[in-house]
Amino acid sequence: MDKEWARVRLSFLLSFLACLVLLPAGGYIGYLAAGRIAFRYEQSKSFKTLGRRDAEELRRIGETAYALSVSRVLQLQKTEGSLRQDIEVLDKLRPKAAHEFWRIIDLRLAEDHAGVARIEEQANNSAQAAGHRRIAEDLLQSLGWRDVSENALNQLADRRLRHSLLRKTEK
Amino acid sequence: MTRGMKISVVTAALIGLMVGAVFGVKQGVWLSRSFDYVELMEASAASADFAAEQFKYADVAHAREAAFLQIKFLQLLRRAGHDQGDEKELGWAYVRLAMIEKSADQKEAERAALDKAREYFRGSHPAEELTDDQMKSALVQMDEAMERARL
Repeated sequence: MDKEWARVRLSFLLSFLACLVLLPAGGYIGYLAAGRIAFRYEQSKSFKTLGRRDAEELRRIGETAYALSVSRVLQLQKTEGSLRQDIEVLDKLRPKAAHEFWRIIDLRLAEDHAGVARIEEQANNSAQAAGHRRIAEDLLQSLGWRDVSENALNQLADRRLRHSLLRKTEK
Repeated sequence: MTRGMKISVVTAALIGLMVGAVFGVKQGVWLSRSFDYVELMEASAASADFAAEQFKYADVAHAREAAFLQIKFLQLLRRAGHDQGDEKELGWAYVRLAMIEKSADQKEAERAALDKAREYFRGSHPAEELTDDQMKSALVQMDEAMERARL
C-alpha cells in the first residue's frame, strides 16, 4: 500500500515537473514561431497599397537606407580605422543596394576617402593621401560637383571629421 | 503516469504554446512595423540630405536629379501611407527644385515647382500662405541649421 502510494506520488511529482518545464518551453517555442510567422506575414503585406513592384522597390530602398544608417554609426567615430571600415562596408553594400541609392552611397564613399586622405596627409603619408584623394575626386566628379580641388576635398573632410581628429593627429 | 496526468502535461504544453503565440504575434507585428518605420525614416533622411548636399555643391543637372530622387521617394512613401512622406516634406523638396530651376534660368519650371510646393503646403497648413521668397529663404535657413547641427 505504501509502495503503491509512493509510486502515485512520484508519478504525480514527475508530471507536475513536466508541466513546469513544458509550460514555459511551449510558451517560448510558440513565441518564437508565431513571432517569425507574424513578422514575415506583416512584411509581405506592408505597402500593399503600392502594388507589387513599387512595394518591392520601397522595401529594397528601406533595406539599403537601414544598412547606410548602420554604416553612419561607424562614421560617427571619426577615426581612421572607422572610416576605412566604413569604406569596406559601403563598397560591399553598393552592388546590392537599390539602384536609386548608388549616388547616395557614392557621396558617402567620397566623404570617407576625403577623410582618410586628410588623416594620411597629417601623418605625412602623401602617397596614400593622394590615392584616397583621387578616389574621392573621381566620385565627386561623377556626382557633378563643381569644385573637386584639393582645397574643396579638405573642406569636405574637415566638415566630416569635425576637426577633432585632425587636432589629435597634429599633436 | 495515469491518463489524467498525461492530459495535464499535454494541456500545459498547449497552453504554453498558445500564450507564447499570442505574445509572439503581437511582437512580430510590432517589430515589422517598427522595422518599416525606421528603415523608411532613414531612407527619407538620406534622400533629403543628399538633395541638400547636391543642391549646394553639384551642377544643375545633378542637383536636379537628386531633388527628383527625393520627390519620387517621398511620393512613394505618401502613396504607401507612411508618415515620412508627408505633404510638408514634399513642399520643401519642390521649393529646392524651384531654386535649382531658378539657377538654371528655367523660369517656367521654377514657377511649376513653386506652385506644386504651395499646393503641398496648402494641404498641411491651409491657413498659411507663404510667398515665393519666404519659402526659398526658409529652405536656405533650414539647410544652414542642418549644416550647423552636423558640425
